[in-house]
Amino acid sequence: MYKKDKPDVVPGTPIQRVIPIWVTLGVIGLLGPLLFSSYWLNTMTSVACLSLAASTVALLYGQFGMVSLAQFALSGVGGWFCLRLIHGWGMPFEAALVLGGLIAALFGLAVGLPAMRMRGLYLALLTLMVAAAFQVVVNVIGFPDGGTGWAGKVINGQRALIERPWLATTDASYFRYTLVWLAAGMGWIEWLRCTKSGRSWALIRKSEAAAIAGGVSVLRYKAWAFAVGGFLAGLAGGLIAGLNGQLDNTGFPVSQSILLFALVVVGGAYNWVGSLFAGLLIRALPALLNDHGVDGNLSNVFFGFALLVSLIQGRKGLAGQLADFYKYVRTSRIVEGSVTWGAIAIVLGLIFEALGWGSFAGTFFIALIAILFRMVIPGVCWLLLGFFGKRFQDGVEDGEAWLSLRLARGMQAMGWVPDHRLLKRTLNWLFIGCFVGWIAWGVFDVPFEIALAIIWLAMALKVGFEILAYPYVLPLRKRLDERFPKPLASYR
Amino acid sequence: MIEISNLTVQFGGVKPINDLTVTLNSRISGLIGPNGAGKTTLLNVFSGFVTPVRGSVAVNGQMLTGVAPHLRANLGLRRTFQTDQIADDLTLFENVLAVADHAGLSSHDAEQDVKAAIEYVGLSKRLNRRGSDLSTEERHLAEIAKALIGRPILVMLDEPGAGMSESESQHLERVIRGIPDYCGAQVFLIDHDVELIAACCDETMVLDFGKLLALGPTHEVLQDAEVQKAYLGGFEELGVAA
Repeated sequence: MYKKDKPDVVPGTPIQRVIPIWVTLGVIGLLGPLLFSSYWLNTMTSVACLSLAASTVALLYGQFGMVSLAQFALSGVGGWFCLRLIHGWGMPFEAALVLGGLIAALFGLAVGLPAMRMRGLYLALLTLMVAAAFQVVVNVIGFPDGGTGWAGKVINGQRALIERPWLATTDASYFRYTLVWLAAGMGWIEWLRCTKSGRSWALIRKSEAAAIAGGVSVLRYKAWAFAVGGFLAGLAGGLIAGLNGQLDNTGFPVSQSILLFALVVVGGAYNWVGSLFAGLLIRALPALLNDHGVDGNLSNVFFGFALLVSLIQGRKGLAGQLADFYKYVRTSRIVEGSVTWGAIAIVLGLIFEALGWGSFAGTFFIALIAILFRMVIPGVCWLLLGFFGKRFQDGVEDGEAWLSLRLARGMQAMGWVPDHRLLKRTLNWLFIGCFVGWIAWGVFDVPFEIALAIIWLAMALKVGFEILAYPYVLPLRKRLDERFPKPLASYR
Repeated sequence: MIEISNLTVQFGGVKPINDLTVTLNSRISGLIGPNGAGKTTLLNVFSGFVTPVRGSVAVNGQMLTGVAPHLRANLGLRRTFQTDQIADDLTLFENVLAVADHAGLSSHDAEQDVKAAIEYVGLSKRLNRRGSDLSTEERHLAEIAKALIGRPILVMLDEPGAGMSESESQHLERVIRGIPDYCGAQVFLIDHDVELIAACCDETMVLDFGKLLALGPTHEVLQDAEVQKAYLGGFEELGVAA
């Protein structure tokens, strides 16, 4: 009668599901200003704003499958009213921000109400029209900049900027300030997802008829989602306005709205991590390319490819793939990984700082990124190969296995300890060294050779540790895993 | 008590239910009929998804016609669907809790009620299993658990036994037969499977092309010559539908 192999999934209390978001964003907020140059700090602030907007797209798409292309335009609405309220009434930033968000929520409701009867392509078209209409209107009236009249627009004069909130006047503090709002917004969405609203949304998603028969007011719960989405998107707009002190008429084009949706699909709409990925892709990737003297618009090519891959691979997106991967990670690996990599990163950081080759924080962070990529890249390569078809994927794997076996036999013949994964390791090292080194070179202004040295040293230390400590670590691992089996199995 | 009076449903030129008047008094009433007899349409009239052109339906004297569909759950109306409606990414507990959320219970009572309902259908071991990991039978039982939440006065089951094996059907029979004692609700069971109806229902009505063909104690109805003819497929009856 029962399937025996499937795991039980304790859903966890709402707060248990919100805490990982806060911890992640908290760590980013603490470390970020230590690591990023001023250019990257502002880029990351903008990433945080876009992630907030992306989380509203993910809310509507992930919970209902509703495609709203107007969310970024709603950010524009929120930003417009935030600026207007500050310039017109001298409101404090927070009050204007929240009021702007509430007004954007009203707009979101206005978009959402027709959506109660529409779905799929028709809803997408309708919201696209709204985004286009916003672009046209903003092109005509512009964003408020301290002028007179209801539009608050200066004609032939100096544009006035709004001041940042008194809590966060520097770039670093504004970055943290934005993250606090992002944490609140994402936490709120996650909270809703695992309480009454989320359960009702799930019923509606499964079948509206069944939801109605269960006593759920479909209209009310859809409207609620649109209002929440509009509010948070509006907040994101206000935060962007606060970052630069103003908003540009060309800042909220239709194309960005579409891109935001596409990248939420790429990042993953069913998991909060996906929204962070979407924000990073839409803002940080073009900035990275620009930083290296490559045209940032080139990232659109990558986006197209990534969208294609994620549509072929199923609709879970990057975040979903990661979650699937980490479901099988055991507790012992997490503990061991955190301890050894933490130690290695700290030691390298101290050494490099002492020798004057790099800052402690930069070295520490590059070493940590290297480990992250060490775990992620093989999976990503696997996915990319899958793009060319299952047969090709299998063929490459068979070829690699064949070659690795030959290599291992060769090593054995020489009297060495055979390593069956030598080929994979080498490719991994080469790729991570070059790729992470390239990113570090751009983002942290570390010379490429130094970055490469940090990455390879860190990886070599890890391998050395594994070889030396393996016999002692193995029993510990076993005991730990028996006590705490796969901690992330239930995470969603 | 279910009262259906002069009920007519019309889709364009077709009348899936044509001037139907029935009163069902038993604790467990069955409804059988060949394909296209109007069984699910009748259920949809109760749920409010289909608006009749004439006539009315009432449960325990409470007129349903005119009540908004999602408010009918508050009146104690529960139903299942032919295809199960279990959300894949929620656990069994959360799936049932989603219905309890709207039953007007306090959160503590809701949790107790959900656990009791899940235990009643025999799925307590599956409390924290994700919807996508439940078997077909477990999903059907979970659907029934969802229908037992709150204080239902009428539980309508639409082909709950579809795709079940012999032993699974026996468990289902026990579950269905116990519903009136479990929560005091009247059960209205729709199925193709005459065996399930015969095992569970005290009285059974037979629909054929929107008309009442027979109504009475189940074993008598199943012996009825007209009923057997309809079930074996009388093509001459097609004229009635047009």
